[in-house]
Amino acid sequence: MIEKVLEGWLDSATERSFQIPFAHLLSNQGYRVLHITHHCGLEMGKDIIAVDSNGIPCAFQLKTAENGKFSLQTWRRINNQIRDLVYLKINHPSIGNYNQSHRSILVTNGFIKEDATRAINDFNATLLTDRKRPLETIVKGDILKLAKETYPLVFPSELRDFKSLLEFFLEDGTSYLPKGKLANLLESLLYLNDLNSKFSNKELGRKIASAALITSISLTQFSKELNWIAEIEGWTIYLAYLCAVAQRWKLKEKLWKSQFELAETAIFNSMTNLLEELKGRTNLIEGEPLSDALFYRVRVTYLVALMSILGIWQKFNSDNVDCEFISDFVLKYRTKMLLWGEGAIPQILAFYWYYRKIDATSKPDFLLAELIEDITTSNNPKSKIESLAPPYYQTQEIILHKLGIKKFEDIFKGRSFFLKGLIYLFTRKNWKQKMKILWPNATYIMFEEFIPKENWQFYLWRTSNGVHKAEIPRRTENWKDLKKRAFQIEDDILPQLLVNYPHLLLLFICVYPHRVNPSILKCLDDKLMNT
Amino acid sequence: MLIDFPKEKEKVIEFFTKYIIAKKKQLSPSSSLIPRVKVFEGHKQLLIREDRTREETEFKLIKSEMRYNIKEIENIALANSMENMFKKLDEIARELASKEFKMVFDKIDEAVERVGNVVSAKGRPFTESFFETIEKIQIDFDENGKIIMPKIILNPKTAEEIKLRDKLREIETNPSYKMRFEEIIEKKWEEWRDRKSARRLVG
Repeated sequence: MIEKVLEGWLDSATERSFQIPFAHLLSNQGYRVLHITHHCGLEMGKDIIAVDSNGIPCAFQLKTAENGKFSLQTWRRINNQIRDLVYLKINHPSIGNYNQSHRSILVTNGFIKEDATRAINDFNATLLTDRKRPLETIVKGDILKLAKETYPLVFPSELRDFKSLLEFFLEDGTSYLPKGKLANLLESLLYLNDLNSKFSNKELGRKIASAALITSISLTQFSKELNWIAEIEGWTIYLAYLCAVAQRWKLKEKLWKSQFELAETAIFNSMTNLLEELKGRTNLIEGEPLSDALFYRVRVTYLVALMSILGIWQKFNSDNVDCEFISDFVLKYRTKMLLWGEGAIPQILAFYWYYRKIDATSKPDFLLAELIEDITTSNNPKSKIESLAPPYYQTQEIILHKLGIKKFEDIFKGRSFFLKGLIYLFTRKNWKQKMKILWPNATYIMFEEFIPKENWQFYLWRTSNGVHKAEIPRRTENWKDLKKRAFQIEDDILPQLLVNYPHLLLLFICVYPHRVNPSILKCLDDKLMNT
Repeated sequence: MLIDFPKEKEKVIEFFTKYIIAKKKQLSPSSSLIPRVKVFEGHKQLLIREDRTREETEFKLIKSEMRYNIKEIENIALANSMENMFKKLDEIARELASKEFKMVFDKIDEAVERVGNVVSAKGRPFTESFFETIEKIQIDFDENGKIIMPKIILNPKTAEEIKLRDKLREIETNPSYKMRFEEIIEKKWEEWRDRKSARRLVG
């Protein structure tokens, strides 16, 4: 059964969708993965660049087998790419000796037909006379064997988890990712709910790699549809669970760093793919157009946020992205963003921090004031207008609620998970007189937040260990005290590992809006504003 | 195994749950006045009051059990009537309403006793304890300055014994009571205005 699932996944995978799990597989086999291409297009024929356990550089070219077969026609079609793979030297700063010869490996998720095998053998004979290493091949059977060796812990025996995994195969890949479901799947695989579980470092390393494969398998339908947002969210959840494992079992960085970087690459690649798609679109309508009017601004809000994060990300590493397009896109669509619930606030804040970087005027600051006004108006206990739902409610639920299709039993008036943090962010900008106007209405709202018991539990989708904090603000507040508190950060309520990666922390709070607390916002403000 | 109808049964259970919730509201209208907030995770709640005092509350489970034997189920099925089933659901709703009511009012008792806000009505005329209560509690006004009167929750038997409606009418009509009530409300309005004007950022 397990083998069938793996086979099924491999059969339906494209070179782009099995690129990341294959890189995880290599990493777990002792390879040092140095580079993965962004678009699975060609970078001189090399989709993955790695160094094997003997220190020899390796270049991998991934090819999807049509109908499970790699034929002579395919071989002829990609012949130039293969020549580049073999003959062009690897140019990567981590490979010190530019003249060192490299291994070239063709990877396919099918089997190689006889005529193609003969052609490869002929090609290898030529390489021998040219004093080149022969072209190696990795086929479906090899990948399955490698996967079985690497992931003996992939599938827990509980049917519940296995069923969830199979259900992912039936998901409509054009839709949103069921985030909680993926989180539960990873949680059970990683035994995070079992507080007494103990594992060796080796076992944990394998579990992290297994979780990457499970994530990839779960995303199959979404990847097929080129649903970049689902991919971004899926890999962000994986990254969060990797952090949970690393923090909970206090793993040394060398045991998780390479897997972390691969997930980061997966997210970055999906982000750049999203950017490329946006560049080619004339509008942002998706699917059935008439009913899309109800969902359009929700989508735009998320897209502006993701492009803002990509714009910020670019400042943290030197990867080239089209900054001009990002800036134009974000500024064009910013007025169409929608505060559909408190879950949208991290997305609007992502835009705010990006906006702050490209606009030195006071305009970005007043976006914060607008958010404060919106919350205090709609969530005022006596307000007649519809209140903003807490960040635990997801977009799709809120839209159905607004249409009267779904009813919520609890009340949202008089409370907010974001107001306190937003007040601190605005106070940091020193707009005292405006804050004096905003303060009276803010005092009618209870400041709420959730603090997990253990720091590693920040990364869990839900946890039964933690305190739901509700704070009644002081009616009379002193500006100096407020300002002092606006700059104080409680380190123990920050997700410790992710804090070192502000761009990922920002993405994390967009995917997990219910994990936000004022200290996280202040910390992000410090890190993003000082770069 | 024998044939089952799991998906349909899930819907039936969902319906039963909704029925119990609706019945509970009907049986205990006072507890339905209390706003409900869904807490999605964690094991306790921390309340930080305006004076920065803190109160931690562990979550408590309110539950009611429905026990039946196979014979009973067969009887319900054979009777071709759901009457007995709904009787059982009503019992559950009653038990849950009573437990919830008790838990909420135990909490209120605990809070008012801690801050010394208890008014004893024992052996005193109703009007005296009424005025003392009104004086002790916080009363709010709407944006037009109109009073938002607090609600009195009383055991229906007690309400009948003390002739609550007559007593309240007397407060409205008796000139001396009316004057005393207006004086208190005037004071409450000033307190409310002070509270409102205290909502400011200073310095």
